[in-house]
Amino acid sequence: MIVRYESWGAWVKLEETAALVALDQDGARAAGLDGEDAWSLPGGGPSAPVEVHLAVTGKCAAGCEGCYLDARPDGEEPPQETLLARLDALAAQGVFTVAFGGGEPITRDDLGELAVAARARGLTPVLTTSGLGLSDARVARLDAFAQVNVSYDGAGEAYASVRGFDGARAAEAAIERLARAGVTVGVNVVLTRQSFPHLEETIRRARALGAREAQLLRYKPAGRAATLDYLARRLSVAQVDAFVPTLRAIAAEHACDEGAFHVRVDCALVPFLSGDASLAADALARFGVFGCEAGDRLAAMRVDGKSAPCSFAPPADDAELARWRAYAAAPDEPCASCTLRPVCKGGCKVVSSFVDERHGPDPECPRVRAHRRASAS
Amino acid sequence: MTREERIARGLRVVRLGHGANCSSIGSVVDTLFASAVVGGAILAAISAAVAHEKRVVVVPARPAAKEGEAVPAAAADGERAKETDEGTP
Ligand code: SF4
Ligand code: SF4
Repeated sequence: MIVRYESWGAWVKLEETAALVALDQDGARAAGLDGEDAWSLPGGGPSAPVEVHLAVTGKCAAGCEGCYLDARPDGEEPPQETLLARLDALAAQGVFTVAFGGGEPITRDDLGELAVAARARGLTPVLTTSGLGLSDARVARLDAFAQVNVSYDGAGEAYASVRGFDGARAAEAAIERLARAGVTVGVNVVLTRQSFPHLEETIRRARALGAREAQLLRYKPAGRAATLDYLARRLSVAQVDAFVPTLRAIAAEHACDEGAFHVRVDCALVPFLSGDASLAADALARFGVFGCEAGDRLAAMRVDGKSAPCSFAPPADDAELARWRAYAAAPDEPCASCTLRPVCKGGCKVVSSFVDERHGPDPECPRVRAHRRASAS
Repeated sequence: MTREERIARGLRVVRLGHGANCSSIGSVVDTLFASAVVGGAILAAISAAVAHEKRVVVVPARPAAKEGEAVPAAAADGERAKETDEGTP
């Protein structure tokens, strides 16, 4: 196990079971761990992120319409030594997971070597790819990654509706190829007004191809998606309201409680869980659901080496990071008195910054919508 | 109370799986819809896994000791961590 002591106890990353757990001091002691000075120092302040998203290239030929990074075929590509130094820095902070992204990471010939280098530093490397150009030879170099997720928004039309071209076949071939090679493979599904109606079929198909996890992602107004078109692509109010029932149906259909398949939601989808009053904040916290962790448990390192609170946010210095954390710690109403606030942390700041031009309550959250309706009437 | 029960009582957060998304942080949610029995079984299995993993690596490495100070067992010259096979009693 890899242990990082905190003032309240310890983060423990298990090595034989894929899990990250937080133990309080008593639990840590029961596990034979002693936080020594970390438990006797007052305060402690914000500790290091548990997960960092590392852009290993700015190159990508796919040209997705909604690319949050505005990646291009001639994007910047840092040399290997630069990335190794960045991995050193993350290891020195006590980060656990490094998610390799881009651009399109598989355009790098040394991607497998970088994953091995991350492992050697005690980091857990994972990878997101479009799957375009993922040959068997390239798959063979990915065995150091703990998991590889392929972007797959659905078959044919559903994929094209999110990305502006039909890359579904290439993604499907990549999922199959990875699964055949024994790589733990998942799919990233971006939820838009156009892809949501196909979600259950998309997951069925991904699972049949060998995916063991579906990661659902909210569409966000960043990069090439930060245009008025966002308003036509984001989930409709009815779709947001149907979100939790859809999750329940997917979990039941795939017998997720037996553990063979899992469904994840990203930080920005957490506000949509508030539509179901039976989901209690303590259960969400206990099962490690992370809402907006930008600049806190999550950080991003861009291709130019600048740090950002998350991959969708602009680079930030310490003062700006403090502003992000301060808002999450003390948001406006209705977030301030919302039972889910300790987990959700006020919703997605990238969305509120685009829609309301400030860090504020997530305008698409069912509870925020209800609060605004009540305030207006 | 057994050791595993004490660990289970101290579990604040359990995040299952690795995830592999490079843009926003993901969390398994199907466990929220499982029955209390299944949820309890997951927490018990994780407590047992914590109890049984022998190798312990502490991160980040603590700063090297100043001259005259005892070198803590965990400190290492620029290396990430202390590593021991005796972390669990
Ligand atoms: S009201 Fe705010 S804190 Fe509560 S779920 Fe909505 S966005 Fe999150
Ligand atoms: S601003 Fe927060 S919720 Fe939105 S993508 Fe970034 S970390 Fe996630």
